[in-house]
Amino acid sequence: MEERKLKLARVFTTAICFGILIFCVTRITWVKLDFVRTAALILILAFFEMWQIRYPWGRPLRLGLPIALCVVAIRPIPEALIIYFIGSVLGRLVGKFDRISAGDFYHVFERVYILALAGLFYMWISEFKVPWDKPWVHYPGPANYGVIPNTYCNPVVINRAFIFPLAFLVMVVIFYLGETITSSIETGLVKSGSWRVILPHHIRQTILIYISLASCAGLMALYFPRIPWINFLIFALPLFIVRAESNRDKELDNRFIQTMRIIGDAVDLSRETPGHSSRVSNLSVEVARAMGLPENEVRDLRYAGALHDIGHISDISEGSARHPQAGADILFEIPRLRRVSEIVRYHHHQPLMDEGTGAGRVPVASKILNVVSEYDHLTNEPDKKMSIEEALQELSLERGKKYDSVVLRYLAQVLEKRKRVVEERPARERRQRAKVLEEMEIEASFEEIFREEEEE
Amino acid sequence: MDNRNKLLTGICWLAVAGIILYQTLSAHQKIYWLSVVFLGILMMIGESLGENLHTRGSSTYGIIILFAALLSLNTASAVLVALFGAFSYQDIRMRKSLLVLAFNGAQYALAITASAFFYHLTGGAARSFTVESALKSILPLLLASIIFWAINSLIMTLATSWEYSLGFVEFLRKDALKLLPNQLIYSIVGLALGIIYAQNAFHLLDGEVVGSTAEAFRGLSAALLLLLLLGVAWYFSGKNIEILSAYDHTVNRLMKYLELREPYLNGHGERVARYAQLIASGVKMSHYDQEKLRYAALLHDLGKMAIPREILLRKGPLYEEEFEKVKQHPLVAGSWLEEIPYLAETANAVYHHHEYYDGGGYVDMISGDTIPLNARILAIADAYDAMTMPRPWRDAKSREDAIAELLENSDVQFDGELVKVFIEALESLQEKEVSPETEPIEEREEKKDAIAELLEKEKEAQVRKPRRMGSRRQRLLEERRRKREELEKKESGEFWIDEEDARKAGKTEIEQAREETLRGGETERESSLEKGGEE
Repeated sequence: MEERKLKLARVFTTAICFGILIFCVTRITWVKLDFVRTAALILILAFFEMWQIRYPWGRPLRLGLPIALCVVAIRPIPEALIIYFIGSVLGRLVGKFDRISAGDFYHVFERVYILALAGLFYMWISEFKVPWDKPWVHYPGPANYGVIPNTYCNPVVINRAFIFPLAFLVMVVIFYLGETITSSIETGLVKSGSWRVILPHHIRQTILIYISLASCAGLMALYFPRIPWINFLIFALPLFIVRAESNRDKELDNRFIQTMRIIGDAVDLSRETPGHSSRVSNLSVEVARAMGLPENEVRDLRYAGALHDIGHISDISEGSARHPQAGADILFEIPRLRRVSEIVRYHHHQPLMDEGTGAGRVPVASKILNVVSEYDHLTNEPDKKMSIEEALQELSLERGKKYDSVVLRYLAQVLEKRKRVVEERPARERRQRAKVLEEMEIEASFEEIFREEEEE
Repeated sequence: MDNRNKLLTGICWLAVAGIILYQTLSAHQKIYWLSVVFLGILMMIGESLGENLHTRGSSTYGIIILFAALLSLNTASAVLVALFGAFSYQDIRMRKSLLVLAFNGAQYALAITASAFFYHLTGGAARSFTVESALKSILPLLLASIIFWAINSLIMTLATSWEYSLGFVEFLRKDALKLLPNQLIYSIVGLALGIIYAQNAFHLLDGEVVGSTAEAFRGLSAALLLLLLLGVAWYFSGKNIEILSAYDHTVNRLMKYLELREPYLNGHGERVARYAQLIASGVKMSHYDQEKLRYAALLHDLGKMAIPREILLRKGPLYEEEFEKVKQHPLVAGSWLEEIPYLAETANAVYHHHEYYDGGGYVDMISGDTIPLNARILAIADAYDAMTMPRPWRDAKSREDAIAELLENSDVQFDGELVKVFIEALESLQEKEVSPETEPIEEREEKKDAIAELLEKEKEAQVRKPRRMGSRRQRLLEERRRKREELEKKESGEFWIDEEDARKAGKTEIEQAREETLRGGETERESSLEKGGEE
């Protein structure tokens, strides 16, 4: 259902975008168009569009965006839209080194009509007549100041000291709203959640980057009449600082979770359940996503999955009943993992018992962890080794008593989906994998024979 | 502060005074006082923002302001602005001495003078900009920026290599070179700010003619936009530093916790990290490499988790196959660490930390210099700590005995050169321990270690935050910590308290505080629920 909706939305988007573009083409007076400078703008936009700022989830941003906002401010809207369209598609095609997906092009289509809307507001406000805001023509000061004649933009608008900032601000805000709402809807459709839930989280993770992009765009537009063209170079550099810092942020986050994961692996080895924590972490994240948990809780769950058995280390003498407590206590001491410690603490609580004593207190994430952890034990421990169906059946015996029934339902759904993905994997790929496996087995058997011979 | 550094500071200040006198008296440069104060305050803010704590040099947003001053004012005024750079919030909060602050200001002033000289020599524009002059100024600006970087890092390197006895060349190559790209980018952002300032704000403050209000408004909004942009970058870099310190803290704490499996280890990883750091600064390793070595030391025994507890705690000798299992542990940890890009270099050290210098160790049985330097250092630190701490099957050796054994095994098990370095470092430590004037080792260690500084800051931030927020939860947390500290004091001071009891008491403390903080008034219900869960 959701996939069909997504497809429909994309077709719709494409249609609107091309409708607007065709309209734009008819509105341009081609005789007056300065092809060289337009091409220069397109190339500059394409160049910046090659780099992107990534978020943990949701659509990435590209550095061409401030250039696009600046172009809308300095050029007539029809031309600006065409420049944005060609430039960003070109940039995406050339800049393949920075990961690209098919969805990326739909983002361009979407932004074309959001940009058109924002641009209309910009035009409307910039023509307001205010008596005390005169165009800046004769400025008292050194002679070489001021607007350079023939700068390929309309300096009168940009030099209206009070109206221009206002118009630009309105444009940026409208663009941002359109962008985040469409992005949330898309994320909602892809990950099957409601966009109203996603929107605030999305705003929280994008607002700062957007502020920096927008202020950069404002600077570029403001200084285009004074230092045309090099304004792009000079004011874009801080953007690269922002990009480097924010991408490093992602890298550090990654390093953190990976290190936690190997610590979890180590704990697993000591309990002779190798790989348990990593598998639980992955599967419970999938279940949480399917249940529509917000991304920050999913992130906590990822950590909790990796570290949920750490309490076993200090719990050897007392049996394993206290390990959630012990693990949670140690994690509680680490400020960054405090929320994770709450998930770990309750991961063996039983829903039935909670219902009498305030079930709402046990975090949903703990319930997921409880079910998934048990499922993994059933399917992977050497003395059990159940199949998926058997394990699900076993778990559903205690449905609503030991294990949360809602989580169980979603777990079944996720497993079903996983199975389908495996089945749908192209036959050729599967055959190839089988061949490689076979070769490896033969290789191994040979080695064994050699070793035996040597020993003899 | 080292005496040589005091001398260096004095010389710098004399030079700065000379420069200002020359520029104003002989070259007749006017000092734009209002602009100097305005940009100087911005400079102080910039210096406080972008502190780069991962390396010893610093690369701060102050550079942006400094270059803006150079481009929109003149050399004499820019030098004065540079002196404002001495007052950075970070330094003042860490209570660095006035001499250090003075040194920072003076070296900025010197570096900016030299770069101003080259900037004007190669035809860079100042004060007012057109398209042509701005374009023409970019190359001179980059040149000036490189000069600035060179002089700044030369003076800093000289000072730090005296202060912390680090390798001069190593530092320059590894730590300072990392700052160059930042420096170049910052100087161009400085150009942007300089243009904005020269075109709009300058005339308001120090101009001969007074600009229109509209113009001032525009200049103000432009400057605001630029500061916003930098503010976002600063926010992320601050967050990065926070994550880094949290990462260090977390790894440290969890590894200590995992050591519970072998109770006699008791902080082994941390001590090994300290010894390894002693050797590393002895061979003048760069800070960048030292940080990697630290993580190698903290994580080096992670693979031991794969060894069953019975084998680890057995007091008698091991069977052949059991020993085979023990031999696997560097391999296990190494293969894990290799998966993490940042720790991949560390993995090598962990992988080889049981190799012998003559090739008699395990895992790969390599010998001599083919063993990575970090692994050789780690082997010595690991062995020394193992010898000086008690084990269930033997007593702890004294420092002298352990050193003797290290010497005996040098060039057999250990790298002889490194052993010598280690023993020297240990002895100098001991001397400092004995003499009462110098500070205790712990403090010295902390000062030496940039990461420890970070941790300290984190702690401070934690203490500071609750006051600002004033939430009940934070206050309770603080109270809990205080109680625990008291308890620990008791534990260490009066040993007649049963350890087991003390531990239990500690645990209930935690539980109580946690429940109070998180569950509000529902403590009783929750605790009954937990009991129910355990049954």
